Amino acid sequence: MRPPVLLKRWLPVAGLATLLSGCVPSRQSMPVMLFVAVAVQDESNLTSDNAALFRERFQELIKDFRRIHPNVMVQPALYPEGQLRQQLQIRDRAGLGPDLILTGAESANTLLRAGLVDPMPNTPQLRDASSPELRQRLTNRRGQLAGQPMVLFPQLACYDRRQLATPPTTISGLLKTSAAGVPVGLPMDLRQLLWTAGTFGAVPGLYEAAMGRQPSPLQTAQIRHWLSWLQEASDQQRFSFQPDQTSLRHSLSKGSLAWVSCSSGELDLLRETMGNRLGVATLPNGDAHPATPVDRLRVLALGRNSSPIQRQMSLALIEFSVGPLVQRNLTLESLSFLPSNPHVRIPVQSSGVLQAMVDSRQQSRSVETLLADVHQEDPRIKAMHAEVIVPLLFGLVEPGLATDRTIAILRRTP
Amino acid sequence: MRDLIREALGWLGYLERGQVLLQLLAFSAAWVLVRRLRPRITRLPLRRRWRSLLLAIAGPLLATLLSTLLPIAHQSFGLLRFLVVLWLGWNLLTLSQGLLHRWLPETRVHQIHSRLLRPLYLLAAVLLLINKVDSLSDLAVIQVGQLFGMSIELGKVFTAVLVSYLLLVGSGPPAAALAWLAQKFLGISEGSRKAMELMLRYTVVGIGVMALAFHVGFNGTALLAIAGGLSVGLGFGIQGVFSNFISGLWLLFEGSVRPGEVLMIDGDPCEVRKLGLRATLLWRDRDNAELLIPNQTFFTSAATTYTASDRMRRSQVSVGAAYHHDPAEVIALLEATALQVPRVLRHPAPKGLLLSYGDSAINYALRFWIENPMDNVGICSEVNQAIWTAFKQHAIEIPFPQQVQHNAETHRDQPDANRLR
Repeated sequence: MRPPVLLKRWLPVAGLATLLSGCVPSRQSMPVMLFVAVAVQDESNLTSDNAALFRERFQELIKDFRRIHPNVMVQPALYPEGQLRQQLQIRDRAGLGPDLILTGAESANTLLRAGLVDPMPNTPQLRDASSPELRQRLTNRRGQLAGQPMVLFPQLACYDRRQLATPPTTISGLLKTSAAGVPVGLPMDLRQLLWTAGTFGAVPGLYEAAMGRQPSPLQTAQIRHWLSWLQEASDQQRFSFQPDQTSLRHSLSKGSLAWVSCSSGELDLLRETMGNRLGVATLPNGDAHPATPVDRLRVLALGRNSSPIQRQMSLALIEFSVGPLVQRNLTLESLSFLPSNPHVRIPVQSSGVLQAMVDSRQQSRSVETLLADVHQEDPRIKAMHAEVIVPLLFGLVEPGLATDRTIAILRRTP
Repeated sequence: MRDLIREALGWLGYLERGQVLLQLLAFSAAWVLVRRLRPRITRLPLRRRWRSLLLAIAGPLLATLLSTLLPIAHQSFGLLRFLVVLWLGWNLLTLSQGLLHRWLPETRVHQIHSRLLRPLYLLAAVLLLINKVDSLSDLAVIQVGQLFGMSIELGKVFTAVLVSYLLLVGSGPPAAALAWLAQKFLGISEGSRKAMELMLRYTVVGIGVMALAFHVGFNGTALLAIAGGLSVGLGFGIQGVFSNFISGLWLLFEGSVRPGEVLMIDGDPCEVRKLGLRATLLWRDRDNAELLIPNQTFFTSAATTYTASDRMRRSQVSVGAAYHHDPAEVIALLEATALQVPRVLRHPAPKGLLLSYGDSAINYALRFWIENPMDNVGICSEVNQAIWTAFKQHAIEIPFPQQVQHNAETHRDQPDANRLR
């Protein structure tokens, strides 16, 4: 009796497959490709400069990870942070989303709300690798964690040593520096101007308003003082407010500005262009209150389309990245961010930049509760920018009216 | 370039995912099924138009049906839907070729499809697919090499190549439209219109290439260096190419060799069809041949043209009439006959001439003017026929040489030299 055609055709194939199955490596040693979307926190689009910098930093991390898991290959794809959500939506629908997303804390929260990332598992190892206040910035109302904190980029003061020998240490000193003819620049972005609010003690009042409550008369007066200072600074000839952080960085590199507020994430690019001219310091304090810089928290979030082995390796990579030794090495190699792991000891004596970053981090703790409630995409931020900050800096509204508007906007339900 | 290859190979890693494989499998299944069904669909008793439409949508429709099953199994379906849209788009693009035939000539439709629409469609499809698996903005800043100390980015190279291609292919229709408008409003000749169209194209492409060079990152110094290198290259390797290019431009400006002109090439009138960058394309009516002649040839050697100042050509036919006819009557008849031929111009008037007294006839010539030099042979034939008919009606004889053969008589007593002995 002749075997059926189908059996006749496929029997040799099945036999060969059975024979070859002995040659197939075990599941753990099979090659695994991890796709990582890296959001670039830059107001302008991706450039070959910042892309190369991000890739270099990322490859340093991956190089060490592959010593433990040589079968894992990692392919990063860089996106401007503003486009990340839209791009992830396109990829996620096709099942082609990344396994890991390295992005800002605000962005991770947004992605979790949009269902584009999976909540981070609450394992003791990961919990132990970050401080509760950082995890609070990433936790939604259902207690889900949008991502695992990885590194912090504190807000600092960057200046040109050729034009300014000693950076100002107080907010009034900053105005005096500008009045003396030294060009000073600040961004128009509210979150990046928030450190100035702290120097007038205005943060508690802003927090009260953000919670929907009316600030006390003292708090209202502090907000008004802050806004008055902003307008006074704007009126000065050598004090300029620029539309974004990238413009400030370029102006400092070219020498048209001598002092700007900056993020530690920009230090590498500034070092490349300015060399020894670059000076780094903490942001100036107020006469009675410290500055309240806003640090940028970078987190690792889990994509939704991973295969089981990709998910397993993604978690392994996250655990590896937030380990104390890796975090310490990365911090010391780059000198441009701080570790999120609280167990890492930073040798501040070895570098003035590290000292400035640690000091800035200490100052920023007082705004973390405010940042946890008012995120980057909160409509109140946009309203504050359009209705208060821009008109105030252009002299279109008086500080009194701007104060009333600020409180009214923040008290709105987001 | 190594980064780019590594990146592209990395995309194979998506095949580790079951949901990606499932979507690709569903698409392949739909593809195979439609291939099997194709002969049955073509046999359906439908009009050709409807059958083509059915063939175009059958596959994508089937794949769409399969894609609706995936969400039920909690699987992603975006990739499958994307492939379906691409498939449908491609099929409709193919169908549109048939539709365009109604309004445009076949060669034009083929050009538009093969040079513009299909390449653009495939390019868009590839870019959209890459956008699903990677970051285009990231790929765009990958450095592919160094040139004159400047790093060249992939995105800029891609943009430069794409825009150059679009300039070369797409600048034709706008230039043609502008030249047509100029002809309408300024009243320039057909040849000038075509010359203007070409010159506009070259200008747009030239400016575009310069702008692209600056976009890619070339600075003035680098361009000067390129120009220096070219000047050396022109002296040796590409002298002929450059000479032909410059000759072509010169001829355009001069207006002596422009599309539509009629030139005599090896004794045959040929119409200039296209003045290209390197060579001129001419059409010879006699055998419908197309001649490709380097531009430099027209620049350095003499050429006869019928269309330099006007397009009229003076043509001539010859005929003989018997000696007993009055030459004045014959000439008058010849001139009247020429006027009866429709394609012979009335002004300047046809002119009959008595050329010579031949051995068996008086030789006359009839000279007349025609509008299109390319029609010369056909019109001469018509005139000759008309003359034959007119001569017959007026009993004018066309003599021809006659030979009378006499058999030479040989004397019997004379030996026949040719006889075989």
